[in-house]
Amino acid sequence: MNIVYHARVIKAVAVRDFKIRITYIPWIMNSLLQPIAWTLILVYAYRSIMGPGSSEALAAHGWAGDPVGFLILGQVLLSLFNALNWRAGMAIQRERWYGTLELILQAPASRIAVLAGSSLFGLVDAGWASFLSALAVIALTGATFNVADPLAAVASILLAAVGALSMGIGLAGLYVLTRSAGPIAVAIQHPTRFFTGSSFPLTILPAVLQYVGYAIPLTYGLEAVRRTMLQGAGLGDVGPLLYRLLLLSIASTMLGVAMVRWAEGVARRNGWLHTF
Amino acid sequence: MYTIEAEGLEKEYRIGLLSKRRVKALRGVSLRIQKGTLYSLLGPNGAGKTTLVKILATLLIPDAGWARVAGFDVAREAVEVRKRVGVVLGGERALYWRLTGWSNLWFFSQLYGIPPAEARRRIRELIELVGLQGWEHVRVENYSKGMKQRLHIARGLLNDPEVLLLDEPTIGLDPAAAREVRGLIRRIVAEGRTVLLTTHYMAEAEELSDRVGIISGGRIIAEGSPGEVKKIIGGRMVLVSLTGPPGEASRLAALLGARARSIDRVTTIEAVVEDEEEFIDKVLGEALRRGLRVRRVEVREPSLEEAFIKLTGGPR
Amino acid sequence: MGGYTPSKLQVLRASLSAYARDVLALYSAWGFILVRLSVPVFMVATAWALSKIASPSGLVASLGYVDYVGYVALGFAFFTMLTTTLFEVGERIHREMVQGTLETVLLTPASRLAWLIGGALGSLMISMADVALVTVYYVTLFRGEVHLGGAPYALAGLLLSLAGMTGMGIALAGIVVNLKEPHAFNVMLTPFLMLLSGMMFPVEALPGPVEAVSRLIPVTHGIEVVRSSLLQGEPAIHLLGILALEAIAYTVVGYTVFRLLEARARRLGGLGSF
Repeated sequence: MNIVYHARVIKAVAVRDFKIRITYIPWIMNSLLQPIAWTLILVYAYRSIMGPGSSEALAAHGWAGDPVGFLILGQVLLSLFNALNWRAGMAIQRERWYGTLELILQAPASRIAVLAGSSLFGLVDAGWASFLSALAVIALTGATFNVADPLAAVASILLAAVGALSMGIGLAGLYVLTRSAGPIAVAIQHPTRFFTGSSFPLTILPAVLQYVGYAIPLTYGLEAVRRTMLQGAGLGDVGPLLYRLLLLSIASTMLGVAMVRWAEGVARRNGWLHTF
Repeated sequence: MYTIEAEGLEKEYRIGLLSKRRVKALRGVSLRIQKGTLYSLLGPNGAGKTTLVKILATLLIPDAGWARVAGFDVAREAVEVRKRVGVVLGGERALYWRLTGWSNLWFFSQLYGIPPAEARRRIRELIELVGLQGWEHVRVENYSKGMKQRLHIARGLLNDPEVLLLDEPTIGLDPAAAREVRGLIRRIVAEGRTVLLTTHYMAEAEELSDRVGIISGGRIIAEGSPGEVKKIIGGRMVLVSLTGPPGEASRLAALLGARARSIDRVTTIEAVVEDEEEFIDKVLGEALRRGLRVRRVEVREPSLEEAFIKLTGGPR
Repeated sequence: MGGYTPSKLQVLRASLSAYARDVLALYSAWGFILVRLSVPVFMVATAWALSKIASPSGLVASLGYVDYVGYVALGFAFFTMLTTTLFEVGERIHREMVQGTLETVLLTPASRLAWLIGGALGSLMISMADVALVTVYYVTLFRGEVHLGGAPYALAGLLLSLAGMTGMGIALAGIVVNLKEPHAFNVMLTPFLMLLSGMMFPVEALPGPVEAVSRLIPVTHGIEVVRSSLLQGEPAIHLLGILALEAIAYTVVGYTVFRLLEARARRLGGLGSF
């Protein structure tokens, strides 16, 4: 077992996912159009409830000005998470649907490499769709950004993506434990939208609900990206956010991998692999 | 030298809410399969065939007992076993339907760590071996059942395995496709590989196997070459074909504890018996008394299917 | 020997019962129950969060809706119910195709219209549970108030938009049933329908041409009637006539499209794949 072997497994899984993905044209269109529609819904909802210009209430939560940029960034990162929820999180579940899970687990390849391959593809696949849909919304509604420190912005985006990825892997550990992974993957998108503050400033929520939000890696990523891209914040300003994001991401990834391994062992002992 | 060895394998499944129902799938199975031979495992549904195959493939951990494949313990040295075993699970699934046959094979070749140049060469060879030339770049969803099964076998051979585990590889195939697959299995054994085959088709097992094991209720109840297994039940197969008043021949069969099959107006009474002469005398005497005419009498060795039915307690 | 002709009511009842059970069986898995219970909570909760930044000069308030949570809660509940009806028809026909029962159904002398409407009503019965759920959340968690006096108008608006959405659904079924992934199509269409239906904001906020398109969808007027009746106690009665016209138009168009596609499939010899 060497590094070249693991790399080849990661590449093979990512290429396989890509080849399967391109046969589902409606789902590709979906991943592009859904974020556009959702962002537009929120943009028009904001404009309808706030009236012309910004609301004082929004400014009181630290986000003065037109909320379009705020909403676009929220939706981009949420879409990234949603895609990784389905790619990395559901990687094992999907093998069960294809009927290939036993064959994958029968191969000597590392399970982490298999998961990493699906995650890698998920990141690329979700990345371009989120980016293009953000551009489309900007073209339709217009948005103003204020980037003072490009390095901080790039670092925030990259780490936010890592956070989303770690959540996907963490959820993979949860999904292998249940046969209802599909509906749970649908259900999880809504609390994530709510608690991460992707559609509104998190400080609106009562303190107890904010705690829930700050247990989610994506929340820190979202805040760091918004601060660096809308308020011109630098690395020094968002450093503590990124630090916490990284810690939570590592914890989530480790938990996910450990759960997948544990679940495989339990499934092998109890004969659940075919229903795993 | 044994390539597959198992001793006292036991496996129990817990099913239902709160795992209340327990099903004992294996009750102390022991098995030895010599290198370069084909061993068929025969058994009714739920006898434990697939459980045994999955234990040998490292997909299941036994509750008790041990098994070694290619010299490695299936529970403790699972990765070493996986490198040396090919598994073909029956049915149409377990392939990526939206990918081509080539892409399916390529993907699995990488999971087995085959270097790219060698993988390409191996895939070309296997596609030729299973007769899928011209179809390798077509999506699997367009394949017939037989083609999918042949692709399964090619996938099972990707890592050049010492041991191939075939779980009902001809299930659901039409006679021509099943024959092709059997031809393929014969070639694989001729290459010196050890094959464990589970099947419902007795003729298939009789045709292909060096040794046969009959599993029932989680235990291997008979084992040997096909000829030896047939001898285990002892006796000879007697078939007497009769015509006459409707239903009379069936009543006679029931009286003698034999099986009756009717085609057109001819009813054939069949039974595996120790003393064929005594049985034939009995049938002829009764037939005469009931106004039945004897059309044909045949005495032969029982087939593997007949031996199987007798051993597993199926209908006589 | 044979020769039975089932009445339309008989077909409708059988179809309604079969599909209601079908959907119920699907949703009885605990994962689906979780989805059904949690999605409305977070939808209404998001509206509650947004209401904290609402301004009295906003469009919603200027239209007389002081409670944005109620505005979204009712919008979401009835949107879900109406669009479920819209999509269920197509997805169900596709399911029948995949499981190989479509030909069997079309071989019977049963009325196609009764079969289609029965199925839509079957899924509707299940989706009514969603409306009840959102209403319970709204009233208990967010202390919302509804004008029960407006309920008859709300019901009339709802029934008319249901008829229109069923007609649209049958027409849409003719299209999506030919797609390999009707579910993907429906998932993609849902947020655009949300955008056009005014589920979270008044359609007056949309640019002129988009607003005009939104008014062609029965769900938009349906939600408006329900909201004006239950939240303001002043039903938008004038919209009931438009809804009735849309209902008739979409039912006629939907049924015609379906029959044309069925006839085409029979000519081309592929009822199994429609």
